[in-house]
Amino acid sequence: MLFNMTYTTLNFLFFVLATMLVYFLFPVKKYKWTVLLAASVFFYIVCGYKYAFYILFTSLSTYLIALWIERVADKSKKLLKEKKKEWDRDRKKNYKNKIKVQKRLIMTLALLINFGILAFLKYYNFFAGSLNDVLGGFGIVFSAPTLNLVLPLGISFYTFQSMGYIVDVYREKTPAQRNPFKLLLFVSFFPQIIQGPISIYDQLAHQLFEPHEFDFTRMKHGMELILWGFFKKLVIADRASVLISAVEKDYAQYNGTALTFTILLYALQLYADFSGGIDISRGVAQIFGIDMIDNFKRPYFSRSINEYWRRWHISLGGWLKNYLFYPVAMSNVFINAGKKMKGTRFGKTAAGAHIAKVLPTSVASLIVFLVVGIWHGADWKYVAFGVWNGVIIMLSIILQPLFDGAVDKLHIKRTNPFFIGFQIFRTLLVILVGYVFDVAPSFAEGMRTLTEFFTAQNIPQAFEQLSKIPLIAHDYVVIALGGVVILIASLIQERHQDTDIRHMLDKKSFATRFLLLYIGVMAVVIFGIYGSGYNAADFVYMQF
Amino acid sequence: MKFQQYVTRTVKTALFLLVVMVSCLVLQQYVLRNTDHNSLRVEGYYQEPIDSLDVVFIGASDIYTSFMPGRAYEQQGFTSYLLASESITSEGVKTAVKEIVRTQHPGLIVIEANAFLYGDADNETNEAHVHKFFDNLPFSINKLEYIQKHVPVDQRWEYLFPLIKYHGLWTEYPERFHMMASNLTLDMRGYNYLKGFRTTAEIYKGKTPSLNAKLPEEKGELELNPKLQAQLKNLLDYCKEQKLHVLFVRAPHYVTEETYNRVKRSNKMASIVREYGYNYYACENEAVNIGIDDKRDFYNADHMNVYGALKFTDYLAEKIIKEEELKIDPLKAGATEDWREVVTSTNQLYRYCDDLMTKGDVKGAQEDVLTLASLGNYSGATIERK
Repeated sequence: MLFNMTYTTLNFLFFVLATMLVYFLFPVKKYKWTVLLAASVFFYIVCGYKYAFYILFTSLSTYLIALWIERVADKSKKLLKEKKKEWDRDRKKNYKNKIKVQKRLIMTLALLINFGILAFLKYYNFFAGSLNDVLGGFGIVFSAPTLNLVLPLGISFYTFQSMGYIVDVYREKTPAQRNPFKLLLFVSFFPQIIQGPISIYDQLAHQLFEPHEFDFTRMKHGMELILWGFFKKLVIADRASVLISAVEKDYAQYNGTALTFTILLYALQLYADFSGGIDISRGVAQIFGIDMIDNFKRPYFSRSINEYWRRWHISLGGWLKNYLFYPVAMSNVFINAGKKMKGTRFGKTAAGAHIAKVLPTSVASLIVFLVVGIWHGADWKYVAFGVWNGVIIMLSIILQPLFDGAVDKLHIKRTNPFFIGFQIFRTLLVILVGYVFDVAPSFAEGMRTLTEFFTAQNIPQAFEQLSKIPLIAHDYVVIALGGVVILIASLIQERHQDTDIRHMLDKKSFATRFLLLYIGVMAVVIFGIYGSGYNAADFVYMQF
Repeated sequence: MKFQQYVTRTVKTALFLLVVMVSCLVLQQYVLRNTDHNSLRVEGYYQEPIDSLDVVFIGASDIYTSFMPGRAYEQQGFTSYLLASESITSEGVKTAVKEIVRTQHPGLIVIEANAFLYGDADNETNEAHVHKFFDNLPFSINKLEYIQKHVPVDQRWEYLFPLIKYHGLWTEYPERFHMMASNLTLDMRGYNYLKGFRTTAEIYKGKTPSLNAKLPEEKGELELNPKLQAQLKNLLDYCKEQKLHVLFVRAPHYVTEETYNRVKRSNKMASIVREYGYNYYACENEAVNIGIDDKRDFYNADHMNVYGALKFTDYLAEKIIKEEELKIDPLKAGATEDWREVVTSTNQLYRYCDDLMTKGDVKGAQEDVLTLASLGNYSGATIERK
């Protein structure tokens, strides 16, 4: 990395400011997008010039293959038009199928190449290690070599985004981009390259290429979103991560109570970190007149795990739904399996009919969550995390009639606030169990933690253990107050579903807006974790 | 949009940005600042009226605990200031000389040798020592040059906006209130009472006997660390180029076997400095002749207490007048008044420390509100050497 250009550095802010000035002052409207492209290329080179080859390769292969798919489609359409009268219906159908297979093969080529690179760089060592373990377990002496692989910046995000585009071109939902530089901008757009969101071509591309004029309100809203992101990331997440990293480092030393507290804090930290980063990305894009998809929608207020995954990392969920879930659930194999089950004796019963109906959906969900787990990291604990969520969703789909029946029998109104509260609490528990595998250093440690939740609770001992972590009482107060601020903001947003808080703020008096924004800025300046930090021990009066 | 709306919006935005910037500057200057005696000393230097100083001293704690500008003014009539900082680096020394050239034109610059006498060059990169001096320098071409040359890219903003580094200090309140008040009162008053002097009221009882009596005979030399020697030569070249009247000194220490090599390095440094035609007063070697009592005049092995500082000040001030032939600029009436206050405060501080040491209390004494508030109970009359 030539400079530290993470989103929370002054370097990044000055970079955004410079890009903004050039973009809005750029004289040729038609080519304004080139400013964003230049900025994105500069950003990527500064952050990881050694790995720029990978993103260039993905962009180029995506560009060429999309054009190839489109060319095959166009050619076939032209031929079909020409042979409209000559060819009978069967021949046309055969030809269409042939073309479909051909297009699918080309698309598969793109997917194999690009997901292959991602899989190799991200998962090779994991699979090699696992293979060695498995074969070793059977007494076979085999050692697949581990490699010193470094992940290029944002590879998961840009690979998913590019492959989504390829599938969309294959499905003829979007035309192939003819300008390779425009496609490079779509793949590498700097506000989203580090942590998403994973955008859909149709939703993002035209915004990138449009010449946006300076708009004060949009800039103000963008800045407000960036400030909110900074608050979540710097004040809460980065402070809480001190405790989480310390626990992760010596995981086995902590008792059940300390780990319970850590998991709770992790839930807050993860949300604040991820959603904060996304807010910064979206805020920066908004300044340039580009609206990116909102990746979070108060996920901890979800009433079911299914709903949670519709509110958490929405862009990944959307991608998986569009490009994995539907193709799997709607595949002949799954539909036929459902139909087959329906034909059996079990399938004739009410329960059997329900299971046959939801079987494709539930199994597809399990597969999707297996991918979600693997996407999060190359470790069995992430696989366990994915499987846990997948199994819960699968069971909830299958057992839905039972739950509905129980609720009806107990005469519980679904709008009852206590019932809603119960559902939120229940969902949160399921999420927290999943997080155990995120924090634990291994699958086995995760299982130990779950056991110790019930067997090793000791508050005084936990206090003693956690007091050794370099966080002081002030930090816990800031985290708690920060959490309350997020909670209040989330409650307001839940109450006014379609209203953005920033729009609500616009309606307040100048003094109120001034005060709130001032408090926000000063809170980040004073309480944020940034810079190399002041270590009192270094500055003590050493010689006296 | 109407023109009026446009203007209103611009004014509101500018007002918000202005308030935020002012708030950050106030926080950076007074609240979330690593205020200690170093910052008060360095900041105080820049409050001195232009060309009002006859002598400026540069160095580490070895000089700001040894030389009392108030006493020197009282005895010899020249004004001086200690532009010194705890464990200042050799780069810091050179920057300080450049800053003196930029801000004052004293008749003499005195450089204490400590920064060049380390056995290794680790001090040059000690983050705390570098920050203690450079954080407190105002924006100038010299500060920017240092940052550009020596600070890693990812830390540069912290030197330009120290709030980035020190914003976490809010956790140290209310304990830091008195330092914040010291900073604020110094700015409001506009000048430093002690002109950078700082001490600890304590009498050092060394476990190993001092070798000071043997030092006048010590002529042995030991090579300087190559990096520090290069820095020294670089500094000497600069001084020559600028035609500065510079004097190098080594203040007395409680020398033991452990620190004996520094004496030999000091001898080597003296040779280098003299090659360039500058004087080097190896007062460390002359401690006994100056009258420094190793049973009474130190508060630790590296620093003299007020008893030693008084003797050293008298000795050095006299040499500066007689041997360096310093021409003293006459002060204006107002400035003379201020310097009388400096003399009074210095004498009060001496008596305050004397009182503490007689009672056996150990306490730091410097330009902070707590120390200054205690001085009122003591006489500011001239100190008679015991």
